[in-house]
Amino acid sequence: MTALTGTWRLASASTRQLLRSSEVWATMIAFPAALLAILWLFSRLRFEFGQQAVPLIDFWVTGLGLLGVALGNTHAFLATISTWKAGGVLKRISVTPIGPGQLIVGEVIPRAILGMVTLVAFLLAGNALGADIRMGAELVQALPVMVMITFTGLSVAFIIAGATKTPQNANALDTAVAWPLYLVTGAMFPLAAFPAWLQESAQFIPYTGLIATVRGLLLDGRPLTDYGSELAIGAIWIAILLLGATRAYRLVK
Amino acid sequence: MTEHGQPAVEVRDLVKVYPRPGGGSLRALDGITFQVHAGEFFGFLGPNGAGKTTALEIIEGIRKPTSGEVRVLGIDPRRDLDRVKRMIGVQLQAASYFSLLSIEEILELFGSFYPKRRSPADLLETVGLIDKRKAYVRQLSGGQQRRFSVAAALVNDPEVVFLDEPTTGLDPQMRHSVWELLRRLNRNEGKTIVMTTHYMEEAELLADRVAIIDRGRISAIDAPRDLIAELDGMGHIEFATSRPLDTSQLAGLTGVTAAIAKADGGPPGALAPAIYELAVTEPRTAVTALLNWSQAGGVELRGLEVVPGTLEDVFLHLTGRELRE
Repeated sequence: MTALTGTWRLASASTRQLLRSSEVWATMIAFPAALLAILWLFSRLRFEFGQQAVPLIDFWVTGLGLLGVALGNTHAFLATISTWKAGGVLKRISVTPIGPGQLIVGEVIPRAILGMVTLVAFLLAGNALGADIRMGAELVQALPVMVMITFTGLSVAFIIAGATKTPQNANALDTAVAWPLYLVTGAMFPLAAFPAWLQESAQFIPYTGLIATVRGLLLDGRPLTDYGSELAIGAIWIAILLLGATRAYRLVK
Repeated sequence: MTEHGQPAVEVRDLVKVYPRPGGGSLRALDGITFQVHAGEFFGFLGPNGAGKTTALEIIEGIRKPTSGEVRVLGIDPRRDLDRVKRMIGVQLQAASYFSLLSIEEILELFGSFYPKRRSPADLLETVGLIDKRKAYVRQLSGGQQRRFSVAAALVNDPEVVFLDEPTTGLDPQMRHSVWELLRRLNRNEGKTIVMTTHYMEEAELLADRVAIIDRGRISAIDAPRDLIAELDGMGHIEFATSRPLDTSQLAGLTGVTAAIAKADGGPPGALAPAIYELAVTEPRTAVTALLNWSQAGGVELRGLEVVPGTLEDVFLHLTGRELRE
């Protein structure tokens, strides 16, 4: 009972801090807004590869929006938790009955909710700029997949914070991990444009299948059941990353 | 002893060895043994690096010992750490708190981690911060931050409170306000307090008993006045000279047990005086020997002062080193 209360109180305290944090407002509002502005500038462009042509704004609002918002959330979260680690907040928590698992759950829940709200707002704004994204029942189906994308990013943040000694090192490692993801997960550029070996390897990157699933649901109106293998790979990654997070992110070294 | 008869804290043959980077090891604790009685204010006095924090963190369950036994209120932290955590309060030497929660919200949050808790308003009243309840930690002064960290250690109304150097870095006025608070907690609320410090006046003023620790070993445990009484008239002599002296010569004078240079006077030609402190067993004999020696060597002594024994002298007598070294 107390463990549950403690986790719940951590989650609500975290929500309060999120709403008071200028960094969070920057990454969850200013950064997505800047992305939308760029998308508007490029809204008349189309990707052409092979026999296919895709309106750039549809492709980027879904892919770049999903990955950009998820990684922005990861980045802001990583800055917070690596500072807690360096500043002694975690050591102070370690002398209470709260364990790393409870702390992770308590912190992840409000971030995941905030990520969802930002993403939906981003998609709506994308439509207002000329994208053609289905926002009805397809969006309801896509929400759990968006949660998976957010969970993946937050788990990675815990692992990076656990593996690095200072917030500066954490930031550097986060940047090194994040930027290739824009290129090879299909978020920015269609995977079909890459060599076959890269297309196949990219399927095993945590975000790739999940982005393809959300695109399939929101752009093509395909059912969730068409994406069994993508969702399975995503779920396995989340299990591995969450396990890694609880191992790597010890309260005290 | 507690109502069940066991000490509040019991430590036996505690050893902690850290590996050194590049090989070798550091014996931070070398077989320390002591007990803290229920309701007692117990002080760990020693210089930086003596092993005080390591000992405290092993008792609190943050670190694992290399060997030895620890019991907190009769419980082994290695076997039932959660139970120990629920019964103790901890103020760490360096800890920060959530930067975007007010101090009242932080106490509310930390209180929610425990089955038994004190209201934030009551805690803030106790530490004299009720007017600052809506402030963030960074908006408090150094002394207020320390008082807040003591309040955070009391959220679960603990039976034993561990304080790691609670006044380090504070100015004298702020230090006194924290001392006043700690004394009230011990005397009025009956909390057992285990505190580390390297300020001898803090240990002398607050602690019922003091363990003197140096290089991982406990040299003596007793009430401060009894430790000082054991000096049997010992005290120290302080004086200044215009040129540096050989401390081994000073230590060899009749009635002098140790000699240290508190200030070396700087390079030749510098205006700063060299200041010396001699630990003495018989002040009168030692002063006579010192004056004879200075006359024979043409050394001018300035500001000669004979100071009665303090815990500083106890430490110097036991370890041959100064507490502030």
